[in-house]
Amino acid sequence: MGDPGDVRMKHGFQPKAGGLLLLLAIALASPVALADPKDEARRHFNAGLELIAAGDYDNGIAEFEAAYALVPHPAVLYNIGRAHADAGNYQAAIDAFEAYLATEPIDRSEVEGYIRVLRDRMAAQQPAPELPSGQPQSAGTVSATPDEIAELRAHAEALAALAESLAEKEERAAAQASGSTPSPSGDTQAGSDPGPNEVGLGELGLGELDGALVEDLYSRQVVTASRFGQDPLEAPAAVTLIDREDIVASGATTIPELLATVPGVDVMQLTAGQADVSARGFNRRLSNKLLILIDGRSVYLDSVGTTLWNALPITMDEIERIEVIRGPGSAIYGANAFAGVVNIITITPGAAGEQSSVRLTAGTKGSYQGSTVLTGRSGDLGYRASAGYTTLGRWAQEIDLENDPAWTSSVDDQTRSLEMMTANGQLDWRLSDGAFASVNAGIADGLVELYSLGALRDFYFDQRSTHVRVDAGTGPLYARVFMNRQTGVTSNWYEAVGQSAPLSTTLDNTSVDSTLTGDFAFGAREQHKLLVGVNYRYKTLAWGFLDTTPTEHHLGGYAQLQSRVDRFVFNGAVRVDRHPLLDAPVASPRLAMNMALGEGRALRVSAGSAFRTPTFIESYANLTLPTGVEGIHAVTVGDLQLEPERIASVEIGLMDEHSDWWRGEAVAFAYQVDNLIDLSGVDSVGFTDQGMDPASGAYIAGQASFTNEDPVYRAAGGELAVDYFGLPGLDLRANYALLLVQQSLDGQTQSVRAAPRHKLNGEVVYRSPLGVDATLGAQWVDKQVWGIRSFDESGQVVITDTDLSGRLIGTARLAWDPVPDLTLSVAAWNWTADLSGPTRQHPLGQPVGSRYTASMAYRF
Amino acid sequence: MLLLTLACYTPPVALDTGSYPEQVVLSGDVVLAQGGPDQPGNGHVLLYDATDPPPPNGTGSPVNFATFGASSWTWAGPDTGHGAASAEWAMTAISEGSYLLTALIDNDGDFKPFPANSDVTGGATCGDQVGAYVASAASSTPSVLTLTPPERVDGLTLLVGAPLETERPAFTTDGVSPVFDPTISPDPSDLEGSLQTLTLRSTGIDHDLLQLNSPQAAWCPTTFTLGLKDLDGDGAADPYPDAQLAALGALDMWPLVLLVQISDASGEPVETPALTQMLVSPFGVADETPVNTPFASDTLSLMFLPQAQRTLADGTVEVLAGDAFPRGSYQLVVINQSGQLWAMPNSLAAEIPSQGTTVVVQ
Repeated sequence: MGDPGDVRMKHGFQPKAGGLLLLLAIALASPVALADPKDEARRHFNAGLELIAAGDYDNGIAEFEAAYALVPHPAVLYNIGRAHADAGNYQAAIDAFEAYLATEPIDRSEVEGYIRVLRDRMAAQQPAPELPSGQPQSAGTVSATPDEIAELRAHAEALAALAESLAEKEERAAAQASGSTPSPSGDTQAGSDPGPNEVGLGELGLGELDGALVEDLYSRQVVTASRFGQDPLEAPAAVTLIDREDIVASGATTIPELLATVPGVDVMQLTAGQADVSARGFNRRLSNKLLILIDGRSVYLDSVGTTLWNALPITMDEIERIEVIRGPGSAIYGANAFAGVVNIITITPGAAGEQSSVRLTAGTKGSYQGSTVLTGRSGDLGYRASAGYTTLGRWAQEIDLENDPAWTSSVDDQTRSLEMMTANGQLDWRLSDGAFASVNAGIADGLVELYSLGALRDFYFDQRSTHVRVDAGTGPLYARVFMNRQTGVTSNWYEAVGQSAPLSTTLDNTSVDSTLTGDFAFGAREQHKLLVGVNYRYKTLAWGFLDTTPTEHHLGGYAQLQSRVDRFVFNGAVRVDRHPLLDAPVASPRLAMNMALGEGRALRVSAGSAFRTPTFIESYANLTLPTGVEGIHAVTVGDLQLEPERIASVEIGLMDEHSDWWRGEAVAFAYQVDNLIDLSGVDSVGFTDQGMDPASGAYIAGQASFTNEDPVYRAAGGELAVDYFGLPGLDLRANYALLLVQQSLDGQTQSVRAAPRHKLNGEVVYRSPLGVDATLGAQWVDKQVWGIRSFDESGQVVITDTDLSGRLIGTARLAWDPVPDLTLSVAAWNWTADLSGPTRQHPLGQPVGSRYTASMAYRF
Repeated sequence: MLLLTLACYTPPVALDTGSYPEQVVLSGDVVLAQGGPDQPGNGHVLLYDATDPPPPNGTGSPVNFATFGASSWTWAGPDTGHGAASAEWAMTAISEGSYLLTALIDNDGDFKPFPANSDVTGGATCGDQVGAYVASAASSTPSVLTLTPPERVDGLTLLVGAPLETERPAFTTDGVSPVFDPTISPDPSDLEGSLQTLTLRSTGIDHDLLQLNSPQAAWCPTTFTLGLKDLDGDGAADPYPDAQLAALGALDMWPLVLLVQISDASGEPVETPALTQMLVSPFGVADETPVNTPFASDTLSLMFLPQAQRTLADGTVEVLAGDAFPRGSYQLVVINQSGQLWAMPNSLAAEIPSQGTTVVVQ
């Protein structure tokens, strides 16, 4: 008789139960509720690699288990299994592999083969069965029965197949070292989440773990800079990564609150529902200098070029990470990737280790949030669905409508700045031979308060945005098609009783975007990577602020070649876009060279350009606005001859990630901006000698038009970021950004202060072993000077320089996991406002106060 | 459920009026009580600072105005053109103060409000209809509205009279460049020798911006309308506002003629202009002439009085006589009782040189 384990192995083994036991053991043996453990997990994992390479399997496996407890990456289970197998702990290896299989990996059949082999080995270790008496036998040999021979043959075939598949894995892993393959979650996501298939393996039980390959398991990957996965040290642009742990630890309830911590990114809240975001200057109301993507889908509004962050159809809990590219990105993304690109990457449907979740949040200033994310996998089909509801109270009401009879408002609820319901769903299919298909659809429905352009003030947009996105890929080819549609009513929040130029109108914007990309790797160890793509975008807009219903067709084509030569990585890219209103195609080149300065250190030098095309309102506006005199109106018109805004930028960056204790980045940049599009003054010629305008029943003082500004803007600046994570459970982050902008015209220069010159962020995260996490952060920006536009009594534009004092925003979060999968937390945003008073982040914005929230999150 | 329950509660929101100064909103209607064309023109409701009243009692410019198109008129009767016509109006963005409201119906479509040429296009011409808001039908002068924001005043009715039958009082000085000496005071014993006089002559205007008939036209002539004032409504002609002259029997007459300082002696524009009223010669006005019954005249004889006044920033009125009379160039403003006004020099001077004449006080 064998031992009880033998019996279990032979007759009653429960693979899932074994996996769960392993997970439980890991969970019980490790710290809990660690807020931002990725760096710590990486440190444990790397330590495990070293120990195992030295033959210290027990301690190496313990390190792996510690890493898994911090960040439960399924591939760690796989590697634990590998280590146990190497150490000869076959049952433990089987348990680990079974746990890994419970995560529905793509290489299920292969891992099942490993398990069969392990079981055979365990069987081979059993004492030889006693032969029946009377059977002839040779000394030292056992004759196999025909059934046993057949079983051995089958095992031999399985081993042969295993060897073949392992060889393929080695090749793919080598390819991963220089890039990645597409995945259903978008081209940009490819390779960003290296699965176990990307981990190099020796022959099971014979070879060593390949540390050079597995070390990427907890490494940071970015995909937005080049449209394929790569180490930030090799990215051709300055990239900041905000991962899930950062999001959770921050306690942020909106994406802009997260972006405010990124060096060089300027976030200003005008209302609770509206935050405008820009990078390296040029922030403004309805900011239009950043390209925002969700899984590669542009959410840039064709109407005014801005992003309504709070009307994005995603919940915070379905964000896997956010990548922020600082600097021009048109060489890859075309128009509007002017000052940077923000790519919001959601969790892969059914991804291993992902849990469904529900979160409820309630806070001061009328802030309530509820959201749920469901994710899972059934074979080759992964699914994810989310729903969310958010309401944020207004920071202030500009008019007391109950006691001021001179004004009215068509907004029923004067206390809320945002009320938004969202739903989002995605299905991913794994097809044969690495092909995939994915369908995503979402909706965001609700009202958001925002401050509009020019002389306009408080507005609202009662909108419904919907989208459908389809992705498919096979081999090196990747196709994406999406449609965005936004409908609703735009209107001024307040309207004087009897106002002669009402501004309420409907909007219906549809855009369809399709991209076909080819991603080819070649050369020895595939050190060259060629990315080519073509893009077509259709967009149309019916809006009462325009004089027509324009339809535009945009075309673009791009190519990018990245070559690794010795310790250099060269990246050259160019994109050519054809805009229907421009005389000639616009070319956007980018050149970058990253030089490795040893392990984990690199120097990047890059230069590139980008452009922003005129938005619909800038091209086609025809809008009559009231002035300071009731009977005098001014017209705002678009210009079909506008040139695109252009930016040319050079930068140099030094990145140091060699340490397991800290990481740093220093960037210096300079850029020049031409053809900035803005509203002109009011041109009275041809208007003031006219009689009353029969359409408006008023006299037209003239027209302001969107125009390319004459001045050239030149800027220089730098960003410095340091993360320290050398003490267990403690993370320290700090960054500083400097920006100096000058405006030049006819030899005259003057400084521009609409963007803060200095910006400083700091954050401390402490993850206690008691399951209580604490975060304390602060953001400080320098004073600013804004030119505010208004009309005088004759309908002429007056621009008044208005000072905006610097501001300090303090944040804090305290979280506790009373039981596994349940997190209770309280968070404070801008608590410093309770000490110094609410501050405006734009001269016209509402005074922004503090917000305290309590949240409960449950994962299942 | 908990969230929904909580979401039903919203805390009070702080008030912050930075972007929206408190204001007054006025609204009401304009009623054409005394006929006019079947299709009245575009309507204008003009708001004046009560301390700087509009013509005919001052030279104030509107601080705000509301408009409505000709299509806004509705009739009390069953068909267009039957019964009293009325139109609704509303005016926003009014700050604290005391105001007067007047109405102008631009039946010929030549009203243009912009400062560049409002001096010649911003008033009522022949055929237009004018009126004002009066608190009661018994009152003949516009009522003062004292407003304090936030406030909304509805139901303000402006009654508009019959169409004007004369053009604005465009004039020339017959080629004379008037020069007055403020050190010379009228001497009752030698009025002819001490009085400094000026004669204005009505003239038609033919310009792209404005066409006014000649004084000889049978219909809508350009003319001065002379008459005895009776602003206090006692049925008797008002004495001239200067006590000394009133003692001499001088009567206050229409039109109101003012000299408004443009520049000082060195030619620099003045921020606080001095202003003086010229004495209209009672020539042609018989003692028995009834008050407020003007008659047309194509000439106007005026006498310069060496006493001016200047309203300072704090609201006090400074009286300047004799040597203290501010030297410099002055604009001559003639205001008929109808409120129709002409000023010279004006914005037509570049094309019509006679409209560029200034009065010099030296």
